[in-house]
Amino acid sequence: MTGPVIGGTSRRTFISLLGAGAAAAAGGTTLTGCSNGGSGSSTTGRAETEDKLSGLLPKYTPYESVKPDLPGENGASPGYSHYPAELKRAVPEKMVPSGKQVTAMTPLWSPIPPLAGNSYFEANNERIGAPVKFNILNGNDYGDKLGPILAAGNVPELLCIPGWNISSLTRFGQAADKLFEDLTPHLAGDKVSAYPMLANLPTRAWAYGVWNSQLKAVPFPSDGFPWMLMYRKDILDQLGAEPPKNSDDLLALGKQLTDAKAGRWAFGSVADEVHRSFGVPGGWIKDSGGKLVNKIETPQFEEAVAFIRRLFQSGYVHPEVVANAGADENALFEGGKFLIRQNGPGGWHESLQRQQTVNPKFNPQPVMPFAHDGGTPITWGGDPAGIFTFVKKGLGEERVKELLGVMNYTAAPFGTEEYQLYNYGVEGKHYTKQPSGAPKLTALGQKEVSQTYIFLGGRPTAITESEYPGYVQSMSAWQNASAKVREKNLFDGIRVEQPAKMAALNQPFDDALQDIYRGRKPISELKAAVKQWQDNGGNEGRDFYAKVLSDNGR
Amino acid sequence: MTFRHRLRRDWPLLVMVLPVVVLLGVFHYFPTLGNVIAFQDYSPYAGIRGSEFIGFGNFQRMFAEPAFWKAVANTVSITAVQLAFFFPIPIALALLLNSVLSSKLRNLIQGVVYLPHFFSWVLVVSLFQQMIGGAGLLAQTLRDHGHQAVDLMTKPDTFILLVTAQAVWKDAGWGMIVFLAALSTISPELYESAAADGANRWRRLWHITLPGLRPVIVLLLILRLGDALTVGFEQFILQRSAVGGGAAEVLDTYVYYQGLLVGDFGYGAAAGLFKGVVGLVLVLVANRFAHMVGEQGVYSKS
Amino acid sequence: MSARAVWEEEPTAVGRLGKPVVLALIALAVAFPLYVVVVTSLSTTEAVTRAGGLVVVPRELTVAAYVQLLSGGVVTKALLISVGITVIGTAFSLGITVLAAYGLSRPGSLFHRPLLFIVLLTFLFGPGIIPSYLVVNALGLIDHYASLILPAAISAFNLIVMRSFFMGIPNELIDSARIDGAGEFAILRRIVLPLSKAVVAVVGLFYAVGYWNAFFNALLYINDNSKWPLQMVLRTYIVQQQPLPTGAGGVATGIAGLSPAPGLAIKMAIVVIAIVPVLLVYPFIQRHFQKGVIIGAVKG
Repeated sequence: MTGPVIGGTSRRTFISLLGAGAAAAAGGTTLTGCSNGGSGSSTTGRAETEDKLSGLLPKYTPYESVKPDLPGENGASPGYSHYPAELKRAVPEKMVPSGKQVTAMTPLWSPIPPLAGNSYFEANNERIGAPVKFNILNGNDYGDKLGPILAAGNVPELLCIPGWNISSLTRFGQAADKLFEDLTPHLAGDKVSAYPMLANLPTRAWAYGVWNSQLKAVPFPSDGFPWMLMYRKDILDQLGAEPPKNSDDLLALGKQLTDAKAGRWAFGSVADEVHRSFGVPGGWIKDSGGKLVNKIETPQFEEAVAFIRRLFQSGYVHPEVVANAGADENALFEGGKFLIRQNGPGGWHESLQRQQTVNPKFNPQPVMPFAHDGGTPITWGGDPAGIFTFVKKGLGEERVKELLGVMNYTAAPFGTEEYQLYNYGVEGKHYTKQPSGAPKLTALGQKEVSQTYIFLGGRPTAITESEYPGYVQSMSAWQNASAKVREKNLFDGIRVEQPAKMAALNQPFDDALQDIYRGRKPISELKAAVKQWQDNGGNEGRDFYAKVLSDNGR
Repeated sequence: MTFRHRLRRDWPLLVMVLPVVVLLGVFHYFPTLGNVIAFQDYSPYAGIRGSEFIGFGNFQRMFAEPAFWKAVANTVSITAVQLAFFFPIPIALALLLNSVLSSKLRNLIQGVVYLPHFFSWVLVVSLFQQMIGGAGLLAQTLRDHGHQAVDLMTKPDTFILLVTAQAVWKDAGWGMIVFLAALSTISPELYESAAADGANRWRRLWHITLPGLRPVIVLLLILRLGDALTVGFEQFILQRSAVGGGAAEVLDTYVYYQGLLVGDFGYGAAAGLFKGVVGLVLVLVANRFAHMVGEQGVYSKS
Repeated sequence: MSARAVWEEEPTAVGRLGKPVVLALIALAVAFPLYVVVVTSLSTTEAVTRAGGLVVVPRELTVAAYVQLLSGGVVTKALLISVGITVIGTAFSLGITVLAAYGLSRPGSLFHRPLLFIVLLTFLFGPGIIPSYLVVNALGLIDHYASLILPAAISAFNLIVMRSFFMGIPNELIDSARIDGAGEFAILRRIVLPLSKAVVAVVGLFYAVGYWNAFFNALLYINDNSKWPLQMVLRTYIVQQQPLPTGAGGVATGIAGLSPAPGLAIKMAIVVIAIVPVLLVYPFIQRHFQKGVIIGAVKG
């Protein structure tokens, strides 16, 4: 939960999620929830295990529109280095026969597009068969709105809820029961065949859409990379600097790149990346005695926090980020105000799209995962689904079918007409085909096209944006390198709804952590904050998670 | 006169008051009753009827919560600091302006100084941000001259001074108007005869002016105390992120963040109720005190 | 120029020099930020770049930022919403306040004391954010413009101010009207209101400023950002510094014949747009402002 102006959730928003292919997981939380699947919270906490859900889940029927040429190994996404010459039509008929307007609420991490008189929306609505009336909220504030909206029972027909927002809501299980339709009767097993694009979503992602033993949401599959460290290759090259390979490099870069007088700083948010490089686990691990230890209780965490504090204290972090942990970093990074940041993998090509006409030299590149001492790094994993779209309860069977139809449309994968349309608009109008076959947004497209439909359900992950030269190859290389060293997740395949009490611990701890980074509190306060976390529910959480593991025979 | 008789005479008056009574009933008194959820493990999905009563459970949890006490401490200390500035500055302004002889100049300055009272908090915070924030005029000027830029909007240590400065900027002029009005009620003859008795300006200030202002000071103090736990919700919610919850969490923001936004309504209502009751007690005590020192206070039994 | 009283001392040298300086500084503290904001909002990209941010010394001036903001889009829409809320809200609040103030201005009338008590008690105790939210929600007012008006429609303070004023109207006037057969509504319209123009104006302006400045109710009750009033827009794009939407529905990016305004000028123009209506009504507030109104009223 968070301050409207900022707070916990929005702090996590450096993860600009999404992107057509590479969806980010719920990453970046300072605490446990994420990689362990903190996708919810009831007052007691519960866990849903993939193996035990098979009766509920839709049967997987792959739909391959095009073959990838850069395979993804170890869970990395497949890469497509060029666009297919021919697009397949995946959804032949209109999905909303009644033509009745569909209401939806979705987050967006970029400026809100014009809603009225937008021909990109009109084109998509035409194919869907009904106008979709979006209420688009800034992703950074999204969590703030959800609590009251759910409590008020005031939900639109389709409601997109990111998993990391769920983890800070109390009684989400009850809300899901009362407010959202059980999709099991529509999708379980073979029934999903009415929605072939939904049948193409991975089973592991569906398992995360289960609450109270009912299939409640269409998942947004994720490759589980919570973020990546990006640097401005164009500017670093100019300054004769190299991307970091260890933490000393990071400090040296801070000094070399920061020039406050020129209005340039080295870093935006980098905290989670520093944690990772110091070998901090993504969530819970077992110590040598088999006892669960949370990431914040590890000695590596302490080292990493001290290091981040040093970056702040040395003045290497951009003042707006210092001032405001939820500052909008896109503009600062793209404007060259700072040169290194962590960001959701989807943010990369989004930034390329924004900058291609403004600054053709703009060239962000990922820093390959490194360990602080230059040794073998670890990377964190994430849930196989990070975002969920729910259907309002009590709309009647026909309407639910129509709404699932809308999500079927927005689940169409790369290589389909539908995918092209909801990502780029109409050929010749919103985009033109480059010689390579890649779409290039026109002026109208720049103005109108915004990735809003993608939050109505998800689609299989893929790396596809070959219109940006070298992007697919570079992303594929980074994902494969990261996936190779991904730490083992103790809770793999178990979606854990952490107890409400634990969810409530995130904010105070995160507040303390942000204060320590920024020198508002002495570093010695970290121990006290960890202690407080343990006393106020962290230890109970440990028992809860241990029980989940033992229940699953792990 | 019988009841029926009075009703026949006064019914138009009752009809006139009715809309206000209905509105206050719906949006003030009815929600006040809604505070029963403070004693429930309230689930918005079950409603008041379906939620379990847990007595003082929410309050117990709240009193055991360091973050709550931090919010109380912030609220109280911010109120105390603001009180320290809230009276002397407007009084000084009023005295200063009252001694300006040109009425044209007086009106001009008066007009400029109390203008910000009519600005919204969003606007006031925006203006402060543009002047002394990290990307503001002060930082910009310092940077241009080769100094380290400062960002006074994001320092938790000085946050209390920042919000006080904002409150003074916004409302000192307004307070001044009230005191100017009070000053104008003091009879010039008192001054004249004091002057005739050889009292200099300082003695006149001490023996005539300040006693003349006393009823207004007491009145404003009571009103301010009633608001003691309402340090200006908007001002804080707008700036909480910039300095962190450690410095900027006050009771109202606590209710908002820990109750409303996370959907933990019973708990939030408990914190809100705590605030309301303490505020009420403060007013009653202050009013009692006012009566004891022989002032009228806000209300009196009549 | 009013002269110094004969019994007063000659001002000291410190007083003579210091006073104007202090007064000038105080006035400057208020006026300077406003000046900078206005100048920046009128500046071109070059001027903003040269100044490295906010512009203090005006050079080339342009109204591009205002044209862009007011040619449709979020700011235009929010402005219209705020104006609508302010006008309708003020009319509504003023209407019921006048009625109730008159209804409560006759000590000894039926239920006079309990009704007055109901109004006064709201001074002492607020219902709290969460119960209020629940009630507004239960009434189905979430995302409804009425949620920006009804919960804030009555200010007990304004009501009491007006009531005190009404009570000061000589009883003989009212009695003689009654003898002529006028009912209470007629008395209010024909006798009381014409004598109370000043207080009605002041209270109306207070309400108007309140509606114009309100931000918290919108934050609580309006989830649909296409219904945001101006203060929410101000908060989102200035205080929180979120990127402004561009294009037809956001902020027009370029207007024929004008080079696009720099982002900072656009932001400052939003600030100015939020200030201007207050500046417009301010002279009226001042003109009608009766020194005695406030103090007399609070005691009432």
